[in-house]
Amino acid sequence: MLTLKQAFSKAVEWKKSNCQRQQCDTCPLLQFHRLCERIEGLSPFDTKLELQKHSATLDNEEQASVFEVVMRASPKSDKEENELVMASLRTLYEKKQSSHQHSVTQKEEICEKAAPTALETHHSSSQPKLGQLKSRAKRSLTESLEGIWKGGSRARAQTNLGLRSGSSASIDTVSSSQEQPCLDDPLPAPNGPLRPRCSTGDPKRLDSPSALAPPTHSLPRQGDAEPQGMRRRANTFSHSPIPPSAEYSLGYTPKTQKAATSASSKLIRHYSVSSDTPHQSNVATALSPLSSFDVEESPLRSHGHSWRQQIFLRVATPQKSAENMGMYKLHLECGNTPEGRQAHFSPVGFGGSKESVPERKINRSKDELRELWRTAIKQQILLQRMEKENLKLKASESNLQNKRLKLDYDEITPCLKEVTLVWEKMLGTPERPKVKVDMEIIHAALAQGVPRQHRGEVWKFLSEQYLLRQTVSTQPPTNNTSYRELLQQVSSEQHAILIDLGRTFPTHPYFEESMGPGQLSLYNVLSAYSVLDPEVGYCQGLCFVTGVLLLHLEEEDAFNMLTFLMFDLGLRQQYKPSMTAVQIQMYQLSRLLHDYHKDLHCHLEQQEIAPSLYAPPWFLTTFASQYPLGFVARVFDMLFLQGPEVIFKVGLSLLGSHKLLIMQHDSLESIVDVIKTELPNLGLVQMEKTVNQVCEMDLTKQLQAYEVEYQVLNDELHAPSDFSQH
Amino acid sequence: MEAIWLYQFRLIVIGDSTVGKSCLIRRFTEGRFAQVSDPTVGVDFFSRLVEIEPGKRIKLQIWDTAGQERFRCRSITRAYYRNSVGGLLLFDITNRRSFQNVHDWLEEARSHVQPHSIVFLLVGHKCDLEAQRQVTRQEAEKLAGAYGMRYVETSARDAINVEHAFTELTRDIFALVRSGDITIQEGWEGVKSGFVPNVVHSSEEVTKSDRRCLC
Repeated sequence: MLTLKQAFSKAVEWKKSNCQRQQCDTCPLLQFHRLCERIEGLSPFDTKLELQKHSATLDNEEQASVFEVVMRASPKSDKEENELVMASLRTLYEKKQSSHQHSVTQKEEICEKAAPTALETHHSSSQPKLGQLKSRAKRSLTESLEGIWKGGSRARAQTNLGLRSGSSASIDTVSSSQEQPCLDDPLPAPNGPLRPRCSTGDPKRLDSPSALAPPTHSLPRQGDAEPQGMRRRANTFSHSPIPPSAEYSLGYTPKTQKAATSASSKLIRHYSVSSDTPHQSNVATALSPLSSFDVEESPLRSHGHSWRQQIFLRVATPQKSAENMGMYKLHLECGNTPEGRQAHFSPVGFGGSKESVPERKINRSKDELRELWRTAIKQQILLQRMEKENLKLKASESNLQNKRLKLDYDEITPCLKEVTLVWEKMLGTPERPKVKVDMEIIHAALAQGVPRQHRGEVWKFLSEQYLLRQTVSTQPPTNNTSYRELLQQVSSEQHAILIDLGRTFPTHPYFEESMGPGQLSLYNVLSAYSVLDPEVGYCQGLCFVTGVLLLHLEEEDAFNMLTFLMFDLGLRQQYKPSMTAVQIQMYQLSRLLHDYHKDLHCHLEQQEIAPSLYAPPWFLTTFASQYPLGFVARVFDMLFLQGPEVIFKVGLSLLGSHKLLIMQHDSLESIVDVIKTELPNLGLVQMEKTVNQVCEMDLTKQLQAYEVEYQVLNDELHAPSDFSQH
Repeated sequence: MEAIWLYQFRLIVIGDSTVGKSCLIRRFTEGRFAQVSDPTVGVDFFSRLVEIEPGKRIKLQIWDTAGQERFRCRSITRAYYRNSVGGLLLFDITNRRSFQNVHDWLEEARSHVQPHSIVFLLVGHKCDLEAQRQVTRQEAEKLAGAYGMRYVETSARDAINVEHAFTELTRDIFALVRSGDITIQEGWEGVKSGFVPNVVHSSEEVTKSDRRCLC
């Protein structure tokens, strides 16, 4: 808004200075103009004061006439009174102006002389400059139009009543006589930007800026977009270029008014269409005035202007190039229309020419306008589409980058091409979520590896297969709340989640940036899950599971897979606040060791090393907090296929294969150190071996038996003590 | 094999999540400050020798526990309270809530430790962040006094008072052991003798376990 205002006032100042150069200071209408300028923007009360001051400068008779008019109308408010005063003052000045005579012909000669000079200078300039000048010319037209609209807005301050009271004919007469000073201007025409603006021999050039200008003004002043008032006031204000001869001043007939009204209302509509979308029309280089203008303005857009400012900048003009504009216009005038100088009228002042001419011009301009706007809008739509595509492209590029970033880990069991094809075939199954695929095939393929780039999709596929085979649904307390809805709810675990964000894969490029995309997604998924499952809420360790999912899946998919793991595969048991499940798991692991690797078990027992010393992270983070990602990804592959007992298998396999290494150590510290830091860094071959073992193992029965054992033991152990406590 | 310790003390470090338990222990045992560390899921432990008097070395076995509440409910860390002789109770001086929870931590420790008792040291951590301080030294000292604890302010980042905190606690425990207030007991891991082969451990094991402490 401020920018707009500044631009307005600049345009007006510029105009003013030119006007003053070319008009005689004693012109009564000029005085009236100055009065108008003074009261512009004032409150009704201040305006009244200003008008009273001004009235004091009038002679008694004039004062009386004004007073009479006002009294007769008996205004109800200051505003109304001001309007009346202005109206009568205007009539007064118009009368005065009609008796204010200047010698005209002499000045016209000067203008005529000046014109060819400018033309010559211009011809010497190179062709490419033409386009530049064109656009500048257009700008200057636009600007003059601005001035007009500015005047129009002032007319509002002045009131419609006042305008109505003056007959249109009288206005025209006066305004044309007001132009006389223009011709008094001693300066050669090319230097006076005002004069070049009159060069409307080419209606195209005239129309295109007028097509651009109204939006700018109607935008901030939509309230006063009453076309009539604007135009009429505009007429008074900026008709200065119109030559003084009565012949040229007859144009402002009701007919042309009507045409102009329809044109401008159309413009407003056009504008509203294009305002739906930020202006971005540097596409076309073809459509001469509009597009060349746009191209030149395009850099301005990049400075972060609002779309309104952008529109404005497209229309408004840098002041510097005024002189060049002037030259170019003169060139147009002289080159295109021999009688151009006579056809002086400002863009909106359609009446500024012979009666027959304006009508023709308006018709043409209407068509032209439509055509121009149609093209402009088309171009904008095209450009926006391009920008959208660009954004998409960028997004997909960054997705690719992210994907590369996310999946930057050493694969365990690198997937061969044939196996990849098998996976791709399975993933591409039509109606996939409803089709059962032979488990043997899946098992075989999984044992041979999963292609990194399809891993997320493979997990989704495995979860679908699992659900297809489930007879009883273990879905969450399904209130069918969507992920988006869950995200909007506040989680009571927010704090707990937040403090773990920076501690989840803190060295992984995707997660390391504080509140970067990785951490943000992590937060979203964990927060949504804690809302979905208030009993579990958030438990340390979950951040790693979620992190691994996020490295392979989009946020919402990751959330869905987390929900699948937690509810369908039952992982949530171990995260419940009592953590009883973890205790059971520790017992089960201990028992498995005892059964499968008795010597190791004894060795550990000797050092009083229970699984609770090293195994909780295995279960609670699915190995993700200690082991390399390639290995963890393989654990996840098997987890999706076989369920949570995979953790036992992996743990047992790891301990079993490194029995000798562990048994070389016989202190608590060193053994735990081996298990915690050496095992995770044993290298790909060892990892692959472990994974292969796991694929072959089946512990279901044992695990069930041990769980029952635990319950029995627990009951035995606690019953007496519970009893004694009571 | 010269670094033979007189006693081994098992210490436990407790306190709210993110008060800096792991960082403090790592600064003490590894001499470095870890900018980033995983949340402790379950328990971790570290060890280091401390010389409390010339020639008198104590081996400290320091247990790091998960800060999140559910981890200390009976299941995972419970056993480690019972087998500890001393503890550092950490709060974050820039986090008032962690200070307010000190009482709860003490209560919990007490309930798990029975019939033994733990010598606690109250530690106001992250004292390098003076500008963000939310807990004054006075009120922390007052609280510590009310529970018969010492109070130390430390910073793992700037290595302020870290040695001091552990050494002070070790000296206090050593004095109690010497005076007989704390005795070595079978089936209790809190204090072990390094010289006298006890019933559970052979002297051979003792020297072997020393090996790691040298690293």
